[in-house]
Amino acid sequence: MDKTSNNDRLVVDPITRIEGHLRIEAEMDGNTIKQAFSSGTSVRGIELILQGRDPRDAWAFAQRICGVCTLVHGMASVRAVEDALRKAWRTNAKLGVAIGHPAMTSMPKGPLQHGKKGKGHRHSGTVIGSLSEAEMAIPQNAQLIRNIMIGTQYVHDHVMHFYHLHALDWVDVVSALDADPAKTAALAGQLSDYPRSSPGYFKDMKQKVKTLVESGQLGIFNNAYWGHPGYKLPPEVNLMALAHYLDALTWQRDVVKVHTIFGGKNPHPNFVVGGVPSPINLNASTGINTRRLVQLQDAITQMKTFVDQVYYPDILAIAGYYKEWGTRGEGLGNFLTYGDLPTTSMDDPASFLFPRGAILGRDLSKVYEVDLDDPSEIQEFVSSSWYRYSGGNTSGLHPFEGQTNLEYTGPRPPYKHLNTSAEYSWLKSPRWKGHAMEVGPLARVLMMYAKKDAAVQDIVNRSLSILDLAPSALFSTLGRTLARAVETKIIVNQLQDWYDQLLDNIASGDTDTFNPLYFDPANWPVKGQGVGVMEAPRGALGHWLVMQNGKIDNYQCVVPTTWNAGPRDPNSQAGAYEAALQDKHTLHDPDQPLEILRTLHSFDPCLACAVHVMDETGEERLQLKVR
Amino acid sequence: MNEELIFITSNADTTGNVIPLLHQIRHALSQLLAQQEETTIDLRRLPLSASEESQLETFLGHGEVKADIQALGDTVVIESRYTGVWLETHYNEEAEIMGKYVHICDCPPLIKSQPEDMVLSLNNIVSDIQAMSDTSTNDAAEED
Amino acid sequence: MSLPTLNAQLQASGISRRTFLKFCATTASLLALPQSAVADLANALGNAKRPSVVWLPFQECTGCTEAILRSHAPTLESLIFDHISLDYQHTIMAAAGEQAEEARRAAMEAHKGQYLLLVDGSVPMGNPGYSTISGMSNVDMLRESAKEAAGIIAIGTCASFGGIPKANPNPTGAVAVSDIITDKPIVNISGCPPLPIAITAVLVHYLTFKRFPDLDALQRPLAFFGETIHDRCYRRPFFEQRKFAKSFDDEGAKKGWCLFELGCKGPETFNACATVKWNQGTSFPIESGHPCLGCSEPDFWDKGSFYQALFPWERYKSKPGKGGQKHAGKNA
Repeated sequence: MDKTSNNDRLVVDPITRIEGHLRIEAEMDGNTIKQAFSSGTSVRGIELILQGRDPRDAWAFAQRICGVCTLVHGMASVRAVEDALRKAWRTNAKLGVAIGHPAMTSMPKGPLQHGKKGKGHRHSGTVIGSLSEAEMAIPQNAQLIRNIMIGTQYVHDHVMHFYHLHALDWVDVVSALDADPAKTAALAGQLSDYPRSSPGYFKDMKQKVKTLVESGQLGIFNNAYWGHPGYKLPPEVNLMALAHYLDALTWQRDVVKVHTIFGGKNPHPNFVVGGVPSPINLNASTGINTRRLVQLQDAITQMKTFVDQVYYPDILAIAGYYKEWGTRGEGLGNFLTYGDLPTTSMDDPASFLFPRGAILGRDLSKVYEVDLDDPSEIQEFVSSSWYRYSGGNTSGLHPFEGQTNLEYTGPRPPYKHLNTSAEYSWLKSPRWKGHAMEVGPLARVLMMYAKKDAAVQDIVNRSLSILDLAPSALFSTLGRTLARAVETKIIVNQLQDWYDQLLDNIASGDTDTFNPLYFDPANWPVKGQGVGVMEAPRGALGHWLVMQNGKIDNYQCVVPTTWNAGPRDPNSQAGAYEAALQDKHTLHDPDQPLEILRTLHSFDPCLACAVHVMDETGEERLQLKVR
Repeated sequence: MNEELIFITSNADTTGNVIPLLHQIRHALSQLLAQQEETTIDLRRLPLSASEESQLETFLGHGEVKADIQALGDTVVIESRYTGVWLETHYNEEAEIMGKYVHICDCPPLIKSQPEDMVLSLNNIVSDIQAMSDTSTNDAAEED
Repeated sequence: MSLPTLNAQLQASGISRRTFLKFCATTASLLALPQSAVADLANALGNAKRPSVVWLPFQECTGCTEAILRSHAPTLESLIFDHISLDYQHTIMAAAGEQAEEARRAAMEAHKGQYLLLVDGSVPMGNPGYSTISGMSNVDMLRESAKEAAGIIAIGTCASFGGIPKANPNPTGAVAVSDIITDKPIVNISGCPPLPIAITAVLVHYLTFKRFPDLDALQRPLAFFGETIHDRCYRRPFFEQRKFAKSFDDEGAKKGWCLFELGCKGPETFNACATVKWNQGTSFPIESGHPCLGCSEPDFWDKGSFYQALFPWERYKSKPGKGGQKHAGKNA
């Protein structure tokens, strides 16, 4: 942190243990944050790079937006293309227009179509007017495999976030040296049945820490805030948490194999428009066979065991020492979800495990409907961002009409301070009906709680009662971290259900994983637009796609960290990070910004995701209304 | 049995590297006898199909010695039915193969005890004997 | 400052010499070193001091860091990762803000001329404000940190060749590390992300021999980038027999046939995915059913659709490869 001569301005840059480049500047009143400013400081322009590409390729580009929540942009992209095609097929069917276009003949030819038995998939050059919903369906197996991959991403991301990105805000590494291994083992034994809890195990762990500290080369633990009075855990809890930090590192290597089985690797597994790339053939030596299904079950079991025996008990144990963080760090009080994890299809939000909706002013008695296609609902503003709108920077644009031309107006590096009264971030400011909204685990858990989801209400109420906290404590830094653990519990149980359904499907003779209708450009409309929706681990994610003549015409991503980390809008409304930091943050020592890190990390920032976009200047945007 | 399995195991083997490899092993064995020159062949660096690899292993067969070493995952060392020709396979803790070698030598290096480990074990045996005699002295004392 | 050797660290963690020799044997094979070099490798590596490593993140997605966190054979590799002092790494370091920058400067000062610089992400040259850390532009931070470094490892295709930020129309003027730093040894470990084992193996080689391993024309370690995916692909026999999947989930796909006609870039992509595989040897893209994207090659983003075949199959007979001629023309 850089405390400067005008001494009321505090800078923390880089914010570490996050994805990407985030800077916080704060106006201080003594040791208390008065005004906080959140800035994304790096841009790549991936949406401009997507212009003019084959929509089937888009997932690979979009996925490189982020390698942490690695599958979410690939998934959203594939869904955006599929949504655009379905909407166009339905609209054109009503109008009786033929799909396919002369321009298509100059396109890279899609693979030949092979009609699938009993499914009546169309061949190239189909005359529309008769496509049924069943013909357009993404195969059930593909839907389940996608859910399993998304679910795995959640469990992997949330556990790693807690141990490797967030825990060191609460766990003092050096204090672990004072722990008694036998007492640590006794404590761990009380918390759960996790087998790696012997006194010998913790003795070895303590020795490891000792060797590291005595070497004088602390590596990643160097120069941190050890001994800060904000650390409240007894030495034994610190030692246990540190042991689990290392266990989680080993565990995560194993569970991502789910992505490798279906997508060939992690980070950046592969996807395909129209389904999933992996064929199912139980007797083959490749693709999804019996051996793969056994591996998959192993990984699902491993996920559930670790979440039930380690992650969730640790969250409760550690939270018990930090209850005062249940009263600060919330801020906006507005929550938004797009919804995800369909039982039937993406066209049926009623079947989602995570519902879609909006909550305003912490009022859980009313959940508002959200329409992603309505140009008046979701809009992005750039009045505080280093972008230029051709129609002026004061009004917002819906993502279908979105544009982003890079225009850096910040101070020339190297700089001390940003001009926070003007433009100060590579992030835009998204708003829902003009409201700044928080997205992410807390928004989802509140949405499910408000919609009276029995499983969520049960886990939330049980957790609160163990911690002896009132429900109002959810609206806080602590509540956000607790909500992440709650939804991880929900997901690990759901993973087993999806796996069982996949097996039932295969057993009944259905092995389809791909609908070729989507993949052949000859079946594409001349024009189309669609939105690919996801609940990413960090919150609501949407990719808005416009395609024309078989190419991408416009591509806009509005991502969770843009919602949360975005700067002020034209009405001077703060974004979620800014509001949260302005919510009762008094720093013990402004030179050691531990309190700031706690609240920021409770959001799990992902900046590469949040910084994006731009269009070719002044190009006229195609507007195709699908009604 | 299903068609593609038959197909894969019967037709997909095209490297033709097994016979040249066996000649190399024969040559290395004669060098070992003549000049005490040891050879290690790294099978990972050699294109071999799965069935060629098992063809090679079947040809070499099992001789008199088999050693299981537990060192961060198993290592299995087998002397083939041709004395002086050893097959060594390293596994990691996940039981996945990390490396596979043919050694032409009188004793593969990993079987030998290492001086560094022996230094430690000398320390250990000294303190263990001490602990044992302490215990028996104490027991004797208590009986008195 | 007296730094512990790896041998001392192994002893402290109860790792036997025999185990270490096994690690050296498998690492030598990865690095394509002769097995006769194992004893030398063990001696030199065992006596190597714990080096300081500074890792700079520029225009990146953190996929490269995540890839390393998924390292193969955790216990063996953690030996090496415990044995480097990662003094600056945004994603996992505990300190933030000024304390983080202080740690970087302190490491560079204490280990002048000795520390290794790792970089992921490309560097935007269009405007210094396109990417900054602590108010400093990426290019300034790279130059400052490279000045006293012993060598640089560019991790991933973005740092190696510019990667996705450099893809058309390269909105931020992104370039590779080697476009900026020209007076230091640089090794490129490309891939989006790169194979983690390649990074470990290069570190081991550096610790042992105090230099980088043999490199190809694009400065990539030959041991990992000496052959194409196609050369070592288990589906290669189907290519030779002209048995191709024509669509996802068709009969050929279900039988595991070659993905060449679905756009597989394996024949022109140098990397070791087909032998080392991903995530503890679990699988790799082709094995899961998706064609190779070619992600370790320069400008792979701009070589046409991922699903368009590289060239007509018949043309391949003029390219190196064993079975091509045998079948050429038969099915033309």
